Amino acid sequence: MDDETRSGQECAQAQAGDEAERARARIPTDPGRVRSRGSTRGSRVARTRSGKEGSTVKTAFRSIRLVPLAALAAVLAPSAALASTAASTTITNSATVNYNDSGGNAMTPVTATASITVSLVPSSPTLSSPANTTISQGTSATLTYTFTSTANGVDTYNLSSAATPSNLSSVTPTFPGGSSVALGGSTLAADATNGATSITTPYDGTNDSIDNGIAAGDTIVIGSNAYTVSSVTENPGSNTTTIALGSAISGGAVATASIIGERQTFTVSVPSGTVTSGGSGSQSVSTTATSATSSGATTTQGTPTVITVNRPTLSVTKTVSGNDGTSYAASVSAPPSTSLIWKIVVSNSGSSDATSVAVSDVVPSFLTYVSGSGKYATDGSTTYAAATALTEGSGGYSYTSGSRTVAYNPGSPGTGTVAGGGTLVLFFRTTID
Amino acid sequence: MAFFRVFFLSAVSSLVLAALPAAAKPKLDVSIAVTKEVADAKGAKATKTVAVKEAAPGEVLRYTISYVNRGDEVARDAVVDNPIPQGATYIGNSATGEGADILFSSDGGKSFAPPTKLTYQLRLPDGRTEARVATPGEYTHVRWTLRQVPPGAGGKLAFQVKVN
Repeated sequence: MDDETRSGQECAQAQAGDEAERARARIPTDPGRVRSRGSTRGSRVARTRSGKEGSTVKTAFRSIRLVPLAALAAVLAPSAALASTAASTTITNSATVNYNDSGGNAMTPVTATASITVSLVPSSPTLSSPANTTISQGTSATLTYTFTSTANGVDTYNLSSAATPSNLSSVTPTFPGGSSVALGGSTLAADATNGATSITTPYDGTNDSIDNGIAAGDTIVIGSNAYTVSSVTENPGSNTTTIALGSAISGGAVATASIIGERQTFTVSVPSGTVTSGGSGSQSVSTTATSATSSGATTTQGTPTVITVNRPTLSVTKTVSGNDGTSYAASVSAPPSTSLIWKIVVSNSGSSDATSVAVSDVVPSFLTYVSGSGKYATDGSTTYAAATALTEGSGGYSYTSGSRTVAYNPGSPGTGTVAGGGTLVLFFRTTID
Repeated sequence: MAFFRVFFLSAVSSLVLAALPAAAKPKLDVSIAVTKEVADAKGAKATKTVAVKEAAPGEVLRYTISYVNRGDEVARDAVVDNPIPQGATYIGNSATGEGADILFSSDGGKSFAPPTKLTYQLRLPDGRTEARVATPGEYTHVRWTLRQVPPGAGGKLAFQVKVN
């Protein structure tokens, strides 16, 4: 047991030492040593075959097991995300042995191969932060995100989005195009040179004109620029794929093993919610894309998108003129048969449109509505004479004699909308009975 | 002996056999196993070696070439050539092989030399050339030379690569 342990340690030390040093020992300037070592090996193995030196065999295996420990740090180190080989690439190792018989005659060479497949390394995608926007209460904001794979193969990303309200009711953002998106990803098998109109990537093992999720018509990012894929040609024989681009590589060469990420857009629809008080509130929207393969590969937009929600605030005043529009007041004193002009002013002090505004007024007793006297304006300073005439029974204007009601309901859109900060003025005349 | 036989039969994954010798001839069989070190369930400090079919970029793989002479005569001057596989990079100091001389190539297998003599000519900006020693990452081939493999004898040659 002691012998085994010592042999293993010696071997490990030799591994940790300088390879050049070990190699020097094999340079044929010291042939005697090489030969003597070789003959020692031969006799050891021969004894192994006889079964009498089992411990020697164990020693050999121990030393082989120990060697990788020296490289353990490298095994456990995280892999670089931006330089790698595409997922599904086959890496084939092949060893060929040429040898002679004891008479020096060459024997038929033997070859062995071993293949492994490169696996997907989930990676956090890049995700844009859509610009802030302003909407009216009762509508929805549509935010368009751009996101790009940084993984070495195709992966599906689950999307989630949350809106934090301020002076607004809570809302739930939705994904009109679905809440999961697959993005392709590959790597460069050769440098992408400036001006080239195609790139080479490793073959992904499936000859279907789709390279690790990248197909014709897709958008891919090479270096820092986006390109349209015009075609994908897979070459199983050379273990490569050729991706033709809609435009030439620009901005300098991109090195072999760089990630080629697919870029897509998706939209998030955010309802306004209801303003709690006053004329406006805001929703702060934050959207996250997470790899379905590894929850650690996740990206949240860098800056939340603020959606300002405005609502209209209407007020109405009513004045009357007994001097044919020269002046208006809350009350006037006039004899019977006087013609009065009534002025109803609807103001929107909010910053959002008020739509489908309808105004109605019941004419009091002892007054008679003057047929054809209705007029409207959109500026509070417009005089009755300068205002636009209305006709009963059209354009949403009416007078109902039974209920003595003047109504102006011009509908939406059109003059039924009172913009934020805007005004709608309705005039009509009556005479005092 | 029994141990050897069981091991090799189970390890052979892909094998090209030489034609059976008619009379007393050496006959080498060779196979390659791919393994990597993974953290044991017991903790990060404990590791175990597992066979690999898939590997992520950055992972270290160990290729172990097992050879055995199944003929009835000694095999002489066996030269095992292994190109560093495309998509992987050789890790310095990782090649092992008991009783074997180990040489490397950095020119696609045209020439082989020990690491310190593995040089290439670098053309400097002023037009002069300078000999530079190739780094392990630039190696393209590993070559083991075995002076002799007696009948029934065998061994293991190994090296490590990092998946690009």
